[in-house]
Amino acid sequence: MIGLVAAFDGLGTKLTAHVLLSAAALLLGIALALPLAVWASRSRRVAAVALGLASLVQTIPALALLALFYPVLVNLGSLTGWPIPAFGFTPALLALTLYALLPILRNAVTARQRMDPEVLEAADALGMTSWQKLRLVEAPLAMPFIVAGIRTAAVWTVGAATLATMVGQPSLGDPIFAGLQIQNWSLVLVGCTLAAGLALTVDFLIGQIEAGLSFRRRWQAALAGLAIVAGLASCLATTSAASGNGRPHAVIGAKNFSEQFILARLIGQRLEAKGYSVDYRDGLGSSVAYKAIAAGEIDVYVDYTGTLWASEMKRTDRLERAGTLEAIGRWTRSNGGVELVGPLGFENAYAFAMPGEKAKALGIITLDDLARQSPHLVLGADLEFLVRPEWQAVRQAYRFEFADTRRFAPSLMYNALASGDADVISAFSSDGRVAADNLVVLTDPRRALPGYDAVLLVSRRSADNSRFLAAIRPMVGRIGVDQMRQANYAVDRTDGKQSPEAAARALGCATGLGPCLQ
Amino acid sequence: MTGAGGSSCAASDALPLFRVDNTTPTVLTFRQVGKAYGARPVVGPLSLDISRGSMTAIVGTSGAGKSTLLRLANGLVAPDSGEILFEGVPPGSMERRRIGFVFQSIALFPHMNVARNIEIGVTLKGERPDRALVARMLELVELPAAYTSRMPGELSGGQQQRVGIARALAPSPSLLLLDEPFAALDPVTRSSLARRVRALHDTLGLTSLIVTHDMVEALLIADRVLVMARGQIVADETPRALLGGAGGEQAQSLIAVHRDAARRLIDLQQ
Repeated sequence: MIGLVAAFDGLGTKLTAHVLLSAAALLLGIALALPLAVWASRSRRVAAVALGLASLVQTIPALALLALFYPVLVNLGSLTGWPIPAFGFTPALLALTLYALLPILRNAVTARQRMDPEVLEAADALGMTSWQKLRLVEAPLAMPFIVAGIRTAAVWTVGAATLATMVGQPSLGDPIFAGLQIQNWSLVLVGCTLAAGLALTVDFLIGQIEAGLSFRRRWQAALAGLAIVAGLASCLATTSAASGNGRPHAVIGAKNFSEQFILARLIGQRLEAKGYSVDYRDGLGSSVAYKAIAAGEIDVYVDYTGTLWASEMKRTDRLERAGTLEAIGRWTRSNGGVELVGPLGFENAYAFAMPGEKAKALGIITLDDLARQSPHLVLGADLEFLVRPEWQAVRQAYRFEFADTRRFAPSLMYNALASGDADVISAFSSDGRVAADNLVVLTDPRRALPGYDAVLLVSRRSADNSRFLAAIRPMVGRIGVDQMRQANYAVDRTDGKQSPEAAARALGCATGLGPCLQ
Repeated sequence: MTGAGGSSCAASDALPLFRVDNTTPTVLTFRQVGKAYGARPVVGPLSLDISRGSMTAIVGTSGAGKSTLLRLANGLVAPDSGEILFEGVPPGSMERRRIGFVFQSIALFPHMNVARNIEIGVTLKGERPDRALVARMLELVELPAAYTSRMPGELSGGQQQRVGIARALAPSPSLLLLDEPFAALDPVTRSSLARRVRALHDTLGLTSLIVTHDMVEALLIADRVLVMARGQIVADETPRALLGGAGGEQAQSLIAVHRDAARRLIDLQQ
């Protein structure tokens, strides 16, 4: 329970970050939508194009839009040579701004199209210039509709901002996605409730402005506006107060599964013991994490040799373990100055796992056996396995022809195996549930799956910092696969579940990397 | 009824506020003006002079080009050919600030109260409306001073059109254009407002051009009646001459409708 409370720590910062991100996106959206709407009101063609584009953006899922901005910004940065941040606030802001733009633009353009043409003609007949007509007639008449559009945009933005977690921007999505990964439903519930509460509050306040405008109750609109400004100001104040506490600061990255959360917490606990204040960027996409450390957006995270080899270095050949480590170390140093501090001591390799009884009944021991029976079996995979080069390699080596392939969040994959929604899954060798659920890991006689040593990566800036390295370096070679499985299982199991913080403390105690309490 | 000397009117106190330019006898000139929408000719080519202080009515059936003629006069519609001069220059947005316009649909600004609707034209001329302006205008159009802060939506159609007329008159226009101003009103309101407009025309020394499809309205309030058909002016007569049978077939057929109605009414009474 103490662990759970610790997990809720920092929800305040997530909330303020969420509010500020949404507000920035909304303001930018308004700033772009209104001039566009004016332009559209002067040209029928512009109106058609603007509305068409805005509707197109709306059909793109928010998550995909966020994901799209990442490579766009990376490429833009390398093309122009400008230091455009592709990680965190910037891509989240841009994607959400596009989302916020639509309802405001649509309402403004529609309001203009539906205005009484005779009233507009009266403005011309009085000799108003284009600007006077806009200021005195069109803008005030469109205002209630624009405010209604802003209200819709605000609710959308607050909701979609939870997805900013994926590009490393802290938001209320952090507890939601972390909770989903480690099946900590109270964390999910708290995140969702806060996000929904925030959306409802914003909806209510802007609704008050809307009502105040249309019923000419200025005080009502002013009061609601004041409440919004006060809320934003307090968020800004807490953020700037929190950033200036004088301690050295470190940002620790983690991809979206339990082991990453635990190792990030273990690193964080060791850094805190050295006097650092730390921030976590949980739930990073696999390729986002490396680019983030290369850009110095995060200081340290744990990656896996096989992932770096195939996804980052685009290598398909195989070297033995020491040679692989050395080649990766050379490559990371020349790609963003990232320092490979060393392997942690365990592997988290992709492995095909089946319930022991089913494997026995079907007579499956190796991946060759699995390939023969694959037309009658369903493969459950995590969200990215089926597009990874490892899957291509193993599929070609064994000629798999599965009846169906289904994708699951990593932690839900094991449930799918238990419920029969999948017969075999792309598991991870360090996963605690392999042993706990009585699964068997199928052997790989053709050696198609690469090695996945967990390695510590440190950004260029922190690699020059001896105090930082002193906290990190002792972890090299100290964590065995059994210890990691145990820690993972403590977080993933359904009963007596621990928070990643608590599991990290237990892992620290077991490995001598942290103090043993109690 | 005719002439600019109707000084018996209670509103004559307002007269000095109107700086009417009496130097040129002609306020508005059309020279061979033509306008077509696509391949369909709507107006002209026609020529026309409107002299200062006159009240001219343009009468005709729907689609005769009356409203387009009015919008050519203040530049809301640009001519395809010919030349339009308002006080010597082609009308643009600056000239429109000296041309009042009263709409059939009234078209008050729905988000502005009565006072702001009335003041807006004066503000646009770059002048500060004096405090008494709204009260004076409301008095001219015979609305109670308490209506100052009402919104257009709170007024009846007739009251709204009175505000519409006040809005057009507030900037002291050299020319007042009225596009079927009473068509949307009930007959009683309509006739009282028509009389009021003629009285204002006289006391304020206006130059007015009013479009109507009602020949009786034209005969009762105008000094000069233009009959339009298919974009052309087919008759240009005084009311007296028209009643005496002048103006040709088109004009006489418009009068005949009312003569028939009058005869029927007399028959019914007997």
